[in-house]
Amino acid sequence: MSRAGTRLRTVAAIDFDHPGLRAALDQITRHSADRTGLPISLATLVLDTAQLIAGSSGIGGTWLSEANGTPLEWSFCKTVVATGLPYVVADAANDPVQSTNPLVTMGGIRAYAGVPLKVGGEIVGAHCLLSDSIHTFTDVDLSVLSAGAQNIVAVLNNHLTPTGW
Amino acid sequence: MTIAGWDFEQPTEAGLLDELTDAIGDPHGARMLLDITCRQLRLERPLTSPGDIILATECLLEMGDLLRVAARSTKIRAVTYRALATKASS
Repeated sequence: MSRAGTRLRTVAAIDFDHPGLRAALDQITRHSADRTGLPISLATLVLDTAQLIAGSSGIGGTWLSEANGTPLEWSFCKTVVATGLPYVVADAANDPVQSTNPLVTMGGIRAYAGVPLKVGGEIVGAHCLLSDSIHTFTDVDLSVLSAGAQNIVAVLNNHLTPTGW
Repeated sequence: MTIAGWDFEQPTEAGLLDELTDAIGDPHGARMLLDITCRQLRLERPLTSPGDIILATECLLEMGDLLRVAARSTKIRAVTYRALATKASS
């Protein structure tokens, strides 16, 4: 099986529609947003052609909240999944990769930092912070993200479906 | 076959098909689903051993999870399109 196939099976084994999972991830993302003072924090799962927002803070009442995700091609978090490394964009409007991203040109996102979420040895998504203005992310911001990611992974591990029993 | 003393009958392919039919509401669809599963696993029909039935059910469980991912991806893309189209026209 391909690496992507194995990763997708791991994502599929997460019961991402469980209301308890959503509540727990909303709480963790809210904590990350509060501690860094940034307006938006997400816990995403990168699916095959879209990213799912499994938990969030700061997107209430927006189309992002209605869709509960974005097309994969707009996803900043897909870079985290592809590389397995933190991904930081301080000024997306002037970033060579992200400057044409509709989330930037139309959606008003200007800065992003995300760290990987690893479940069962596979990177299933990212925990990220977003801002509508240029933001230089500090070591403290990234530490908050890493701590939040650990908590998110613990929640995801508690919501794995019993397919592999 | 029933296990002596336990009064517990061996699960059968027919039982699995009944469960699938109840779940999706269509016996033809249930048979097709089991056909696909058995072809993928190269299992001979009818399924007779508990081991083969367990393999088939594990495959069906995973197929269900993967279908959920594929459907969710498409739903996100469709809802995004609808939301942005509404926003653009208002």
